[in-house]
Amino acid sequence: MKKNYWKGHEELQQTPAFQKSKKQEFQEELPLLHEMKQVAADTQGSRRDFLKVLGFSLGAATVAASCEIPVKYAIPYANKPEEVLPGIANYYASSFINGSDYCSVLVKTREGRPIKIEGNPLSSISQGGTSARAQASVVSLYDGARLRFPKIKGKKATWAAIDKEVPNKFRAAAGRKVLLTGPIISPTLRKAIEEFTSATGAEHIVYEAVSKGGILTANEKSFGKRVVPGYDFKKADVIVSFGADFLGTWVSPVEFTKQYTSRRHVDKDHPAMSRHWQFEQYMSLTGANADKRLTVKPSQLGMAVAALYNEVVGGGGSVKLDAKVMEGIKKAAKDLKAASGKSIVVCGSNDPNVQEVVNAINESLGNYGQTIDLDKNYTAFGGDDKKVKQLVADMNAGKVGGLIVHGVNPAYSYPEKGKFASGLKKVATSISFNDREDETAENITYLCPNNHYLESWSDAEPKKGSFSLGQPAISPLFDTRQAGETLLRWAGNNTTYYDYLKQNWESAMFGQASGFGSPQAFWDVALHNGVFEVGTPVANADAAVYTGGKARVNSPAPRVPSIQPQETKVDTIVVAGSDEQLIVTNNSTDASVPATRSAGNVSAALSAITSAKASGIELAIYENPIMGDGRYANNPFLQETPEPITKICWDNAISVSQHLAEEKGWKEYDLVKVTANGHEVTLPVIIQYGQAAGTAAISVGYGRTKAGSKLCNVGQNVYPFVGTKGDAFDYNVTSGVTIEKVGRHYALPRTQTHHTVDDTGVLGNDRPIVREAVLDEYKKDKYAGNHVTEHFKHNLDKHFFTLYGEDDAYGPHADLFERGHHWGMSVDLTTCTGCSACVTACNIENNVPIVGANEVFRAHEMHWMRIDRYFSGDRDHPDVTFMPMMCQHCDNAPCENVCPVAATNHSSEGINQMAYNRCIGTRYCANNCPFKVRRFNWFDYQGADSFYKDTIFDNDEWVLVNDLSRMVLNPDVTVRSRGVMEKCSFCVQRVQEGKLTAKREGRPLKDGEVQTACQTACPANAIVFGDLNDKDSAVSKLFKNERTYKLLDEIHVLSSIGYMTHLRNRDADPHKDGHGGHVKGHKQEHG
Amino acid sequence: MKFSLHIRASVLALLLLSLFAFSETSYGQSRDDEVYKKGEAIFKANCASCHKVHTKLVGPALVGVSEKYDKEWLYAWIKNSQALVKAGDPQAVAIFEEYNKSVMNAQNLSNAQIDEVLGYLDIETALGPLVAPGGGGEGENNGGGTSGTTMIFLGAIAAMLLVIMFALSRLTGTLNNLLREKMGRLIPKSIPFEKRIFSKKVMAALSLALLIFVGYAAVDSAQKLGRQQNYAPAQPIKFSHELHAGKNKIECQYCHFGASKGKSAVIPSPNLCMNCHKAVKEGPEHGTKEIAKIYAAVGWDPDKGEYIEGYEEKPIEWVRIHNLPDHVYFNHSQHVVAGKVECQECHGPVEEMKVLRQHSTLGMGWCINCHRDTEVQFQGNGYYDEEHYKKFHEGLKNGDIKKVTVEDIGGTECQKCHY
Repeated sequence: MKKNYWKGHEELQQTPAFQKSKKQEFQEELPLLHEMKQVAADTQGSRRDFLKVLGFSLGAATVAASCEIPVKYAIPYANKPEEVLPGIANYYASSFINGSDYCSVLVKTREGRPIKIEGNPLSSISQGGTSARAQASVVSLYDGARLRFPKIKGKKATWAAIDKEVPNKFRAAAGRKVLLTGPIISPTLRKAIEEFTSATGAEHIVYEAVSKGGILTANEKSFGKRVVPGYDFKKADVIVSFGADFLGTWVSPVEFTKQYTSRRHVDKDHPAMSRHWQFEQYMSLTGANADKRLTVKPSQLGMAVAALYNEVVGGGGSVKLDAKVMEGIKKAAKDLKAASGKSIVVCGSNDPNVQEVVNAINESLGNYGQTIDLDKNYTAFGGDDKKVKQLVADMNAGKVGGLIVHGVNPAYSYPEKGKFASGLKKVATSISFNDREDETAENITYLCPNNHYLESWSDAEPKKGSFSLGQPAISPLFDTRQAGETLLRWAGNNTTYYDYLKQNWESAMFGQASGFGSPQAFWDVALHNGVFEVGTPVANADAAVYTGGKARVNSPAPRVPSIQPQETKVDTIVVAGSDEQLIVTNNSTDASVPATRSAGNVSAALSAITSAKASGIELAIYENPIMGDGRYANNPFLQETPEPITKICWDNAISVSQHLAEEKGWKEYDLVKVTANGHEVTLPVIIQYGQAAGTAAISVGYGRTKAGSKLCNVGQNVYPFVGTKGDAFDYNVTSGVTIEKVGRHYALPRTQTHHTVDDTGVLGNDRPIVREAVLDEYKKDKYAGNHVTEHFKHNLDKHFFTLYGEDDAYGPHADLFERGHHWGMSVDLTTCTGCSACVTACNIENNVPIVGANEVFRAHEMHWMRIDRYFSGDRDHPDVTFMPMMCQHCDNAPCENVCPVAATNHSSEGINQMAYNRCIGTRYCANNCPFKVRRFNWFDYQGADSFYKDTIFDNDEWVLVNDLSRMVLNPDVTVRSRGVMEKCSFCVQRVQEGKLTAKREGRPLKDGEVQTACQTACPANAIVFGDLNDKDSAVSKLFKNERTYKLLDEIHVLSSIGYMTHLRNRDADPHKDGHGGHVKGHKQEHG
Repeated sequence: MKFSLHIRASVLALLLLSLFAFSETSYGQSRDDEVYKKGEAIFKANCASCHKVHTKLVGPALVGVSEKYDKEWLYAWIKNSQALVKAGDPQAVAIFEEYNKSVMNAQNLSNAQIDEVLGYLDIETALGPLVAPGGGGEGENNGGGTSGTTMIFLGAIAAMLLVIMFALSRLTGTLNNLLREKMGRLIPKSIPFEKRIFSKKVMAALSLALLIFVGYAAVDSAQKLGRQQNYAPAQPIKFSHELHAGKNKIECQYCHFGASKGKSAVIPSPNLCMNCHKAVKEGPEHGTKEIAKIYAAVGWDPDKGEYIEGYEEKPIEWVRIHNLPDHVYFNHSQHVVAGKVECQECHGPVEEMKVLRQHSTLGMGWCINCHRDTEVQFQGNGYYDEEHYKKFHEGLKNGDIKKVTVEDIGGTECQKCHY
């Protein structure tokens, strides 16, 4: 029996609308008809009017054409900085820091403008990977909603006036004086805050909108250490996660994705991978990647942990759970016990009791000191829910005289609705460092805007002993000042923040390194590398290029995915030109020594968990991997990146299970009123497979009212649903939730079935688009799940079915690509987590326009790359496969034959070329593309057709771009105008650049030298790009792997993208799974 | 019969029209004359620093000067203009006043020499301004030059052919009439000339010709739309490539150092100019005037010989000459380093240009033609290794192919330049 695959509810139901859209490239008949009708209705034109307009247009065109070509100027620097060369990008190592989001990055600048973020391969934390948020952060630099100058009571002020007035007022404030910040990851900023608080008598309180406070409290109780410990998923053979979205949002997702996927690169020499169990309330990114995933209600999450405690440790009292879940827990416990010391149990709950039990389980498994390290802990977390609640109560009671808000937006995100704002009004001296006039700033007297991170000096210590430096890549665009400097100034310290930072590194960090002759040498190397790891070999200082305070790093070093899952050796850092390496020693931390523990008795915690009660529909409030806690709301690139699981852009919705929807009679996109905790919102319903039965989930981060652009104030704010359990914020609402149908529909911009690959095939033959297998099968059979490919390999000639019939003339044109390069790409479906960093990276690299919610609704999103998310198997407990889809660069491409003007054609290097200036917009190519990866510019989305700004020829019709936001455009890629087709180019600008560098240097192109934007962004190393003509290239080897298959290979388009089968490490026996009738991981038969 | 006559008339009309198209006027004088050359030499040595023939420089344009003034007066004026002014010669005073009382230096020339100069000026006046070398469309780049002489030659041939045609047409007409007479047929009454001219057929032919002409002109000018060949705008500093690259033989890439490194060849920043101009304070033509503009840009005090502290630098706003559309990617280093192309191949004889102008069309046809013909620096570049370019290496060894052109390695594919 075949495994059923579907992308959304409409596909499973095979609604007529879906079937129609699947068969068509363009979802609507002619999208412009709608606009045309409107125009026609608005205007009552006669033939005379028509002639008038025609005459005018002709006249205008003539005038425009006879105009002289405008004079352009070329203005060189008066005094050119040595490192800037027009047309050549510079890379600066820096640190992306936003709240607890952290990534060590290389900032690509062109002519002094940051235009792209790349991962820094030297970092042991992010290891060259990035997230969608880090990728999009460069866009927020050019955010027009940022404050352009400081303000006092809503009026423009100077920093001098601020410095004169504010510190005195704050010091003199009556009552409590509080500095309320988000998590502080920077050791130097922490020092500056200390200096500030001791000078002014203020308290420092850390507030996290999505709190990790529960873990801190639990670890304090268990081990006497108020920390989030360091986790190493690379060392874990078995991972059990209870609602912890560690690949998407939890603690350090980029690092965890790197670690996690390093154990999931499988080939015949290493047929091993870690096993991942996930028990969760809603479908998270991590759950979607789990080998085995079971759903539990929010109220039962703690009980599931308790059940595991019973199985692993024993003696925790009886727990009532669903039989299926219980069975899963038992199996997971078995796996865990077999992998003592090589396993991890994590939990996403903010309930300290639950976390305490998790600690006890991990301790019993001997994981501390192995996969979990209390000493190498994450420093970015420290949210103290209790203190924050007390603060808000005091504010309302008028006990707070001075308040500084930095990096948080509690008026929007604080759970108790309206309480923070009302309290704020009672604070006499209120100050905000936030970069915009957000919801909190509304009631604040002094706005002292902070710089963007790309304009600031900063440092970070994401994990104990791992340091990272952040340097500015551009001067502040506006009259803003770094928060750290403002704090220093107000503390009476007049050093610049740069000097302060450098002094701190020389006094605090230099001592932890050895092998450097002087603090300056240490500083230079650290700044050049962007990172400094205590106890890790560091390149000799002499080898680093000294560039006068500004580090310059060459393009990221090539990365080939590690196919050795067992390898845990520490990567060494080699700087070109040096063979010598020095070991930096440090006495303070030693991973092999277990932390002092007093975990012991968790019976109190257990009884608290098991006594939890629930009634009615349960609601989970969560953070999604794209939008975060709401701080990224005004970033259109993130808004338009489809959320990996729900595939919604520009909005949030309430996810419910199919059964609940059926039971209540809700259909998808029905509006419902959700009431809980005295708050109500109206949201559209979506049927989310993998949602626990009888529950619903809503993502935070939406419903901003003052994020910036009106277009970005989308969705509904659900923070007020967050309750309190003990002293901690509780993100599960387990009682008192009512959901009622409003009786209207809502047009949700959701991409899940846009551009669906038609899998009906010939003669009803289902095309196996997703191919998967179970690890055990793969061990026995290298072609497991991929027998179609095997069949084609041996019967090459028999199955050429092309548009032109079976004809040898359309056989493999291998000889065409014999000379030069033949580019190809491999995508591993096993390691791809669906995080969507690649999608965002591609958009920014290739100037892909952002089109807005209405256009996305009409399937007009312009993304060159999409991630198709397939559900499969059991509807209640579906498997998920993420399939990145981009132009397949077919060597026998259907799109090329139909272009009447040869605007799309094939290069000798196997790239399906698109010449925009030749395209006349017939859209035949898109109609003929079986993968539906071509995108048409229905409008002038980027203002490319505008002649001159602010003249009558300025015909900008799109609202999402302006001169400031255009600064992020990649100057090497054409900005497409209205009426042309576009699609993935294999980042041809990077290919050409790589080739040219090799040509100039007179050497062969090295494998891995050219990397596409999606590849460098990927934190999972799932994408490998390279030359198929190079026999030793990584991609050539992967193409020979038995797991590799070509999409729709039976239509013989000869695509250049090889997908690798999705392997899951689970029991092969279908009966043991307990999902009657659904055969798991069966072989795909070729009909 | 009548029909054929009309055809003849139409053809004649067309040919006449085409003759007008080649409306290159021919005169007895040419720039190759002895007088011209001698006069030009004297002019360049003595007059050129203040005068141009067709345009005003410091002094007036000298076009048609011998028609305007009496020869004797000119002798006197050229030899000592101030004497004339002081003597109160009305013509002399008028010129003196017109040019803001700037004195024309007395020239130490004999009457014969002045005659030669005037001869040169007369020829220049008659021939009109010279189109800059390389002008006239894409002609020069395609090899077949359309210089004045060839045009005259072609015009002469066309005229001759026309005369022959006319004669032959009359001849056949007469013979036909004779034949008719002999056969006793009626000789058709000859139609009056006006009627012939305004006949439907002639009108149709003329309209067709007009349509073709207008169509051609429209396409031709549409192609040139946005192209700026021979664009030579005035620059904020009268920088002369002739002086720097020609006379002083400064290597192109000393200033345009980006050409070997990347996309942009780079217009040098004034701080690079200062490498030499700290010492070179005066130019041969403009003295200190133009060099002072560099000093003003970077804040250099030439008297003290040091940079002015706290000076706000003022970048120089050069007018950009070579403009490519946004959808074209061009990289200098590709051509200069990998392709080993000389700068002059695209930019023309820059070392002879006092005012820089765009030498080539920069049109796509121009690019493609070069890519088709140009041989890749195949041997000796490690990039074109045996593994990837086996076929070419073998072909070159066997002698099957003589050279590998840019086109052969994919240099005419769309996405080599458009992405």
